[in-house]
Amino acid sequence: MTNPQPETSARANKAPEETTPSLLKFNELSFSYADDEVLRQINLNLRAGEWMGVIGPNGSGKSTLIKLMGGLLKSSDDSILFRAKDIQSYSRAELAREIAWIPQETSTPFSFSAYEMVMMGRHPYLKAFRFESGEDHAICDRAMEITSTTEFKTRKFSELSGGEKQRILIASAIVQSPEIMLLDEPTASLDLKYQIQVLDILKSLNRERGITMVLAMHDLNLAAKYCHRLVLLKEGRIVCDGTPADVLQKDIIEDVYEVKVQILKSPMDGSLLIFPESE
Amino acid sequence: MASAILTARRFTLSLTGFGFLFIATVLLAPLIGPTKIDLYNALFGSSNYSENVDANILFVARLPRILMAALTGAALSLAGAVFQALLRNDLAAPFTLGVSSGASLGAVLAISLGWHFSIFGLPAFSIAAFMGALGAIFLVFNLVKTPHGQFSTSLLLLAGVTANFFFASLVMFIHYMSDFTRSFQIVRWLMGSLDVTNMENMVSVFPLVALGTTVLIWKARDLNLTSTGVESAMSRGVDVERTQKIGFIMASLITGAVVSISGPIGFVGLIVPHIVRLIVGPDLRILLPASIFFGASFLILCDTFARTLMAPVEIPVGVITAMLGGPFFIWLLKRKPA
Ligand SMILES: Nc1ncnc2c1ncn2[C@@H]1O[C@H](COP(=O)(O)OP(=O)(O)OP(=O)(O)O)[C@@H](O)[C@H]1O
Ligand SMILES: [Mg+2]
Repeated sequence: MTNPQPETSARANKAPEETTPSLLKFNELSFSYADDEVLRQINLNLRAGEWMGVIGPNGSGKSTLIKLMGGLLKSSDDSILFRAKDIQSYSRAELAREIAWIPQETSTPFSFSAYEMVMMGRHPYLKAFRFESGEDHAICDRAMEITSTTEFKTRKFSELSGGEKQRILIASAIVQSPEIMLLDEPTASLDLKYQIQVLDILKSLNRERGITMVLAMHDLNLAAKYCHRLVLLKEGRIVCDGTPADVLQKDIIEDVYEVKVQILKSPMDGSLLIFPESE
Repeated sequence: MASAILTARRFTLSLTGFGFLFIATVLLAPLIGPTKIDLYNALFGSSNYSENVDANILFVARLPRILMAALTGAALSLAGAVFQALLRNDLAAPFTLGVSSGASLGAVLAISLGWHFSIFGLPAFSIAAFMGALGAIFLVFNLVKTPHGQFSTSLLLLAGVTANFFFASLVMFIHYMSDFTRSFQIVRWLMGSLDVTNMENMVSVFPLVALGTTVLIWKARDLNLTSTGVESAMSRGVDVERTQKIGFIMASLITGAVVSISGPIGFVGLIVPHIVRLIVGPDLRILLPASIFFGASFLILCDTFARTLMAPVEIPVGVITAMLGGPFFIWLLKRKPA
């Protein structure tokens, strides 16, 4: 691990100041796949260096919001601005050099090796008919060190465990050298150890390289522990947007998730802990 | 070897290997056949074919046919590898997707209507075959497409089989409605054989195949990424829609081109990319060129069997490839988890 220091306070990650320039800005964005609106009147301002968690019940629009941030879905004109310009006006390659996106699941029917999958992140920097340069290889090796994946470099990607795959995908996002990393439930299929490992990797990327993180998450406790800022979605609307302490309030959570909860403070680092109650 | 990353060195080594295999096949296959030929006389004897029987057999009967097999095998294999990447499914191939039968329909239609014109030196039936191939892949792709770019294997295969049946029934209908001469031409063509062809047609479609091949190899890395998922590819900077368009058009172009001159020869585009992938790995930058060489050698070998197995009777080469391809396909299908 690159970040061995024991966690003292989640709040040690200070949210960037209000004055930091806006990276991504949503202006009254509404989005629908077919007829039904999946996202409604979204206003958001993502600033450089932030770590934003997107939370909300199943089907509330988390994945859709994250894809829109990566320019992967078609948005109406000027409803999403990346560096103050319509995100649709950038070419795919331009966006790929700035924004990396990791889906909840990636599969390929072909036997690409873990290293080949990492190298795919270099695509926006490569020219046709050329092989990867020594520099590209060095960048990939470094990313695999950071994610502790060097040992399965030559294994087939499709035969890796969920946690190993997730780390390979993070490595492939790192080699894109993006400004923003979008991750869709990166810890959903991981056990306790891998959850912490993956989130700690992201945390050091956020701190040391200043990469802006946006994560869709289901685990509210992990969200509270790692994120500076939470955006709570319900039926395609933003219900609440603020610090974990602002968002994770008993009445808000009970209303959105329709479950009774208890909210406590962690005796270790002061982050919030949410306990659902059964009926 | 297959899991290591592609470097210039590995690329050159693999391609040299496959290149040698190809050259060896092209040089040796013409010597094999029901009639023994005296190679020395063929090469250095009289240059008048009417008195030099050996040269006549070698250069007029066998060599063109071998070049034809090479072109057809190479093109179908390349198209197979591209369809597999675009549809993220290793059971996709010109034949299983109905693209070959779409091309057949086009060609048969042109034959039965007696179209004789040509555009830029391309005979009408080649153009019609290309249009048929393109129509077939358009149909199948739109049947299986989902917004997420995921394709269910069973749906894809069903769509392909259905397209196959549909086009085959139209071919039968046209055949039935045609007069005797045309009907005979159609039967000869449909046998999927390499002997009815003539050099002229082959020369006329060659530039098309070369064009399609160059474009597809140029797009190899985009195709690699597309095979890991539409949205993943987009997020890494690939213009997926454009890649799909170019890929489908070019793969249909080369399929239509070779089907129009050699008839529907099945399963080559399924078998060859598989075998080559086992050797060089899935990276299309090497898989495509290697499949070209291996596919050419493969069909030359199949055709050599077709010429010699029951000599002097010649079996259509499509029969041989189908006899190999049928069991191979079942084996692939059984191996799949779901
Ligand atoms: N490709 C699509 N086509 C049509 N509707 C879609 C598509 N993807 C998602 N939806 C719909 O949009 C809504 C929001 O989906 P989304 O995947 O963004 O939710 P989510 O918050 O990520 O849910 P989950 O927690 O289950 O991952 C849902 O009603 C879903 O059915
Ligand atoms: Mg989701």
